[in-house]
Amino acid sequence: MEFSFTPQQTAFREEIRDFLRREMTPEVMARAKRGYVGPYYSDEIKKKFVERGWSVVHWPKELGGQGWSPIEQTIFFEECGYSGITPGGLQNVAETIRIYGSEQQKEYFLPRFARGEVGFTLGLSEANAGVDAANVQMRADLQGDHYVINGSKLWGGSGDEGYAKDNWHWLICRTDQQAERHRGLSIVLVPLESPGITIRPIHVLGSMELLEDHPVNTVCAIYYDDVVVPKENLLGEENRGWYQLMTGLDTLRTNIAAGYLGQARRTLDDITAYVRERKDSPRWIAGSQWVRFQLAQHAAETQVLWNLSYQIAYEAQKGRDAAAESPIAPSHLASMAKIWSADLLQRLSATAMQVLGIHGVLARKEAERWLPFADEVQRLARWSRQLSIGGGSSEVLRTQIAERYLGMARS
Amino acid sequence: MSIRFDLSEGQALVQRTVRDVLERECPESLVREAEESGFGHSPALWQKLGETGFLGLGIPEAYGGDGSFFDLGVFFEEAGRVLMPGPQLATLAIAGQLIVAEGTEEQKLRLLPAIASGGAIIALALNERDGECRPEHVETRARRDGDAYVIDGTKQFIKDTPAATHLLVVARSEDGFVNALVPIDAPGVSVRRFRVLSGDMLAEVQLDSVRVAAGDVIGAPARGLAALAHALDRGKACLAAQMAGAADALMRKTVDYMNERVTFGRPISSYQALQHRMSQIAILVYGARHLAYNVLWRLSEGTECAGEVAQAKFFASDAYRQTTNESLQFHGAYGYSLEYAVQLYWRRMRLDEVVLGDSFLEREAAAQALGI
Repeated sequence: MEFSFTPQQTAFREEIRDFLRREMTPEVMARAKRGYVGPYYSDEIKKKFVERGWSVVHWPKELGGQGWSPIEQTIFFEECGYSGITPGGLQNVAETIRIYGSEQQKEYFLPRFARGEVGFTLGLSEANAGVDAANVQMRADLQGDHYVINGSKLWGGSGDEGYAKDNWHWLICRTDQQAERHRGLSIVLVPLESPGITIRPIHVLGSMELLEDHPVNTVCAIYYDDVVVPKENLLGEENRGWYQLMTGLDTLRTNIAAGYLGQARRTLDDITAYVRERKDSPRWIAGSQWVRFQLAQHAAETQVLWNLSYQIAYEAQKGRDAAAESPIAPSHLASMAKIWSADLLQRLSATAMQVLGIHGVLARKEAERWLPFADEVQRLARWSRQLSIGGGSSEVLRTQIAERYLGMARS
Repeated sequence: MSIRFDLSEGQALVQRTVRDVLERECPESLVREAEESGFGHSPALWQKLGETGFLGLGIPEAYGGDGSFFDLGVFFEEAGRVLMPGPQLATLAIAGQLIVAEGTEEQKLRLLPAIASGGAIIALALNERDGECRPEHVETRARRDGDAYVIDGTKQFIKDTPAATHLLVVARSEDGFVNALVPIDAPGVSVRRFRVLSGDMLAEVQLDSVRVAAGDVIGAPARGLAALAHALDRGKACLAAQMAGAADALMRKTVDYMNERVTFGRPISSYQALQHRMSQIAILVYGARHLAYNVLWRLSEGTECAGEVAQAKFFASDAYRQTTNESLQFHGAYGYSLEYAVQLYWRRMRLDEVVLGDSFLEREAAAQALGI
């Protein structure tokens, strides 16, 4: 066991930090905040990242990436999370296209990913396919040289996130109605401007216009009515969509856990500093022991997430074959990290809300007036509720851990 | 240096061989016997561990030992798995490490080989009437008399006295904190033992004008408090590893039981109401183990980290407590029965959590380290 970074990794972290400190000025962050909740991103920030080649950082240089190792990626995303920003978020989409894309698809998409010129909306969940993801009903029927697609998708982004002009739907749909349900799915890449597509915004707890002074980005319902897409837009093999979908999820999870680690550290630091400042108030004296113990607890919990994040990166670095010999296969670590990070950010923000008292519910200018971190805590408190739902609910993952890691009987 | 989440070859060898020896030499029957006899210790097992070199882990080769402090932590994780009875915490992790860090050359040459071979067994006589396990709360006095000290006071809730050859007595003096090694049969030492929940015999130890030669004081009293704190941190890190190991072993035993136990025509492990609770235990046990590894490694590198040690210890306590409660519940009436091993873990957990200071103390220490 060793838990230190190499001098190169430490220098690497410093370089990322320097960049973030220099470039993510309060003004840049304030502009990025418009429309986003949770970790922020914007056109402006994206441009800065793309200029440095920090778009698809795990790709090799010849594809426009940085060729960073999993540990370096983790450092990068941890520091970004600490700064309150989340770069990209399409690693798994990019990864499936890199692996399964046709020559034309790769030629078109890969440089655009690297240059940040393409946007993708995930098209997985449906009204009756959330946790039960393989229950996808949306259908694509092959008619000659094109698919005709009908049905609807839920909870993806709007595709109109401001910074990409070229927006696509990464669509999981049923191409074989007779096959066993996991085996009849395919991934089709659909331009969101295609005739027959209607997009309806769904406002959620994480992005509430009511609490902002500007329009916000939302998640969406996307409806398909006889949408025609050329056959060439199929990604990889027909009816292998479910298995292709799984690819790249490890990369995505590695980066997501690291981002949450950064966010947790930041929130803990912010609220700890706030508590230090307020030591003389009656509220602090009344609640001091509870506050001290909660923060001590969250510090330990954050260190647990550090271990999960860096172990996932470490196992990824060792390579999949070698990882199979480890006591916990990476997918179990990823499930643990997913559950734990959601729990941690929810608990941490709940503690912080209680520490803040009525200051905790303030928004916008009024929050800026009273709190050094403005309304970040209440934003985290509401945004973090989806962490235990989206991308595999905690309940589904707990069953996976029980059956696959602990070896309990199938439920 | 780099990130490495696997045991090194050397560490893995320690783990394998310790597990091997303990699985063979420390069965549940031995744990029960040590408890029932009131001795809390198995001399035969201790001797075996001395012969195989495990009592010398964390002690430099020059003094009869072998292996790093991290290796010692690995030993504790394995000892936790089998609920190994005995004085390892006070003797190896605290007194042994105190002597390694603070002892004179003469003391190291005399005491460390004796510890490594199993001849010297040291009980920690720190706690007093408030039971706080804080050196700052010590009232016992050491009065200087020529080169020697004369100690007066009463120590409370002292573990390991049935097996001990020596006491590590902590006392205040005009020169600072005296950490003295006192033979358990020294004139003026009297011991009154009583049984506690874990099954161990704890003791009240009276020190009545006990004379300690200068050569038996470990380290300079002027820095006695800091030296003791460092040694206690090493003990706490090892205890965290021990609790993580115990929780992991109990979790796995319980899963085995749940796979066998059938209700309403299905193994109870197939019920999600239980699966989800068990997977929470799995995450807590992962957390406990890795927080322990983090601090064992840091201490092994010589980096003091009191706040992190405190975090590792209270997190391991919480994880272990929850594991014992849930495992008892999942065993149903058998878990409540003394015939099953669950209750052994359940009871011993209750002492592990408090024997080197309770979780209030650790949370307070962790909060202080956060600067609040």
